This record gives sequence, structure tokens and C-alpha cells, in this order.
Amino acid sequence: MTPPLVSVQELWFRYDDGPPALRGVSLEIRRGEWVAVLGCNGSGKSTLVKHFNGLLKPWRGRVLVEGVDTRRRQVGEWARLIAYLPQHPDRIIFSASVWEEVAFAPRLQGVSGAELERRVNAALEALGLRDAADVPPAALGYGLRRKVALAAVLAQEPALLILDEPTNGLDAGSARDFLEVVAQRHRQGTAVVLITHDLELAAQYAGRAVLMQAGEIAADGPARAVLGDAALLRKAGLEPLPVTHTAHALREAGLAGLPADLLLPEEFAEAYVRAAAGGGEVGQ
Amino acid sequence: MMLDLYVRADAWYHRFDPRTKFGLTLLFVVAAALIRNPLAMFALLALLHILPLSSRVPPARLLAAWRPLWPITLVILVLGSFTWGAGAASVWWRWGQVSVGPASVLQAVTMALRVDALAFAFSLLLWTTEQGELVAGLTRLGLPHSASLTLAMSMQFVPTFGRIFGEIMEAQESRGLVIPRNPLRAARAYLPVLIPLIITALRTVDHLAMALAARGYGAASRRTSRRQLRMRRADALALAGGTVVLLVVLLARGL
Repeated sequence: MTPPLVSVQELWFRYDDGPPALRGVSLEIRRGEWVAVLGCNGSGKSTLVKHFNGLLKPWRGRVLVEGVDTRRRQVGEWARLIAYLPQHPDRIIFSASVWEEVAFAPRLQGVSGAELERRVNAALEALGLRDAADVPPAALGYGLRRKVALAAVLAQEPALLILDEPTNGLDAGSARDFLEVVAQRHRQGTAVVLITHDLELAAQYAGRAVLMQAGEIAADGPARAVLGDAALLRKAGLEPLPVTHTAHALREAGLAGLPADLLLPEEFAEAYVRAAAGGGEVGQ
Repeated sequence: MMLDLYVRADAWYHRFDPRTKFGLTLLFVVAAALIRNPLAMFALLALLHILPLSSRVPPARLLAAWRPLWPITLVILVLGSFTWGAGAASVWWRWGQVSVGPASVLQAVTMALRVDALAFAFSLLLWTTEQGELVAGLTRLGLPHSASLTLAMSMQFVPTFGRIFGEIMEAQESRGLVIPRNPLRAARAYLPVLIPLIITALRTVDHLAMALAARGYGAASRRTSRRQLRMRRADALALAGGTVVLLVVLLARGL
């Protein structure tokens, strides 16, 4: 059996002399998974994923990438396998043109010639940035800079793509377009770890959800089960999805036949119509 | 997230008027510049640790201040010990122009401690004085308000940009950037880190200027101030005592 892409074993971490930010976290990320990492501010989400490519080193425990301890290599050496998109696009943008920006990481991996052209053009094409290839990325608007940053990490063609709050500051439509590009890569086999506060996006894209609370894993399981557990989410400081609220209220009011794991508005509408048509009337 | 260096506390050094703290900082700087005896310099540095600790600045803040300082200290110690001994009568080891002896080591120790003392003198001011007090104090000393605000904000933004530098470093390392050990190659390798830092700094300044303008900064010809500064007896005593101690120590010991 192939080893997991990332294996986190009894991980403890603290910043300087502060209290532990992670307390005995263990989990595995396998190839091709889409994992949403959820939790309120300060729960340890970013701290956890920064261990996946060695940006942070364990205080106790260990993190293995394809069976190799992250402490045994420099961060840059993991870039072939793991790409990390920070919250702010301006943390990575420095080149004179969008094309050069996207080519930066593949070049560091030794990619050149036709293969470099292919990677960069594929990433620009996926994000609709072909026409902006020669523009200085720093001069673009925020939404486009976010796209450039995503194109830059997609061109790394990693086995695991870590996205830290990638839709912050984007309108709902742009956020969805953004994650559709990631979903396309995911369908081609790239594993995705998505840190987000947007439970609806997590419900729509992630197959698995890891819920963090005070540096510990409060839940790790199918996204549908974790996101549908209102009590669990509230305990971790998150507000359940409106659909979960509404479905719960309707069931309490007597509408039989509504499933307990509804997350998305479309699912809710379909289930409601079916339940109402099946004789489950409100107020029964 | 640490946005500035100020440590909120109702402690004795915090309660001094900002002008007193400027004066005391100046005394520490003069002392650090004039003292030549390594033991006296060590005593000054120790004092600059005791003062913040006794004014409830957490030890972690002092340790954080040492983190960027110790490599500088080490470089001064090594370079100074090997290069400041030329012409000395007593040397332990010599190779051409490079030599190590008691005189060069003592001089290097003094210089390293001097740099540390200067850093801690300014840190003490920033740990114990909030931005509004800094601005009010500088304005009362005659600096135009816009200049005081610029200076105070520049000082307070140092840790913010330190944090952003760390975040950029993380992001570029994740893309495969490895900083070589060779200093010349390392300088070039830092470009992908420094350019985003400069762009972020310019954006921050632009946003800050707009935010200040939107709140009416510069619109009124006369500003009022909620903060009324008042020198108390403790301020006068601290300044007078500090000056006397400095003079006595410098004159009596011939330091």
C-alpha cells in the first residue's frame, strides 16, 4: 500500500513560549482527496497546514510527506509535491509580468523549454489570464491578483494544493469561478486542502472535512456528516449553514421526510418538494 | 498578531510623561556612546533589562528583541576581535593584518554591548509608550504634528512589516525558493521576498494616507488633543536623577 501523501502523527506545536497552538493532532491526507479544514479564528487551521510542507516544524510528534520527515528537507524542496497559496496574493507577487510570475516556481524546479511553456500557458488559460500575460501583476486589481497567485501555484503542478482562505475578499461569483478552476485540477488527480470559513463552499467541493477547535481535531469525517452536525459546529464556534437551520426547523414543525444531511440550497429545494408532495405537510 | 511594540500596562515606567521617556532614552544613548569600559557597558545593558521587566514588560518581549540582535552581536564580536587589534602590543594570535588580543576582544565586546544597549534603549521607549503618547510628546517638543505622526507610525510599523516579511518568506519558500549560503547569491535570491515587501509597504502607506484623509486629517487648521501631557514630580526626579547618575559615573570612573 502506498504511504499517504501527508501523515501527521501526534503533532504538538507552539509559537515561541506561547501556549500550544496544536495539541496532539494526527491525520492523513491521501492522493486525490479534497479536504476542507474548518474552525474559528485561532483554532489552529493555518498552523496545521503549514506543517505539511515544513513551513513550521513540529515541537513534538512528526509530519511525513510520502514517508519522509519534513524536518529532513528544506521547505523549497517540497515545492514539487506541495504548493501553498497564502491568504494574501501580494505575499507572492514580485515579477515584471504575469507570465514571469507564473513561470517562477516551475523554473525553480528546473522546468524549461516546451514543458515550461505548457505549464504556464495551461495555468493562464485555466484562470482566463492569457490576455494579461505581459501585464505587471502588481498593477492588476485584487481579484486578478488572486487569480495570478492561483495560476502561479497551479503551474507547480503539485500532488497537493493547499489553499489558505482563497476566497477572502472575492464576491460569491468570483469565489465559485476560482474554486471551479481548483476543482478541474482536483478531477485530474491533485489533492486539495482548503482552509475556509465558507461552509457552503466546503459543502460544495470537499469530500472530507476536518474541524479544528482550540488546537485539536474536533471532528474528521465525510464533509456531509461534519457540516450537517449543527451542535458540533456550534461547539467549535461556527454557525451551521442556513439550509441546516431551516431543514431542522421544518422537521421540528412536523414536516416529515426531510433528510438530516441537507447542506446546499438546491438539495434542500429538491428534498422539500419531494417531502411536501409525499404528504409531509407543515404543521402536521 | 502584534501590530506594535507597546505593552499595555499601568506600571511605573509607563506612567512617565513621554517627554521624560524621550529624555531618559537620550541619556541612555549618550551613556552608550561615551562608555568605553565593557563592565560599565554590561551594567548599562543590564539596567535596560531591569527597567522594562520591573515595568511589567513580559520577558518574552525581551527575548523577542534578542532574536534579531544576537546574530549582529556575534558578527561584531568576531569581526571586531579579529580586526581591531592591529598595532596592539599584546596579541594572542596574528596572521598578517589580522590579529586577536585582549585589547581587540575587549573593544569588540564593548561595541557589541553598545549596539545591544542602543537597541534596548529604544525598545524600552516603544514598549512603554503608546503611539498617541509618542505623537503628543514629540509635538509638545516642537515637532510638527504630521512629522511626529509619521515618525511614530514608522516605528510602530516595524513589527508589522517584520511579520509580513515572514509571511512572504513562507510563501516564496513554498514555491521552491531556497536562500543560498553564499552571501552574494543570497542577496539576489532575496529579490522575490523584498519586492513584494516593498509593494506591500507602498500599498499600506497609500491606504493609510487615504484612511487618514477620509477621517479629516489635515483639514482643520488647529487640532485639539484629548491627551493633556503633564510633567509630575516623578518625571522631574527621574530626569534629574538620570542626568546626575550619568555625569557622576562618567566623571568619577573616567569611563
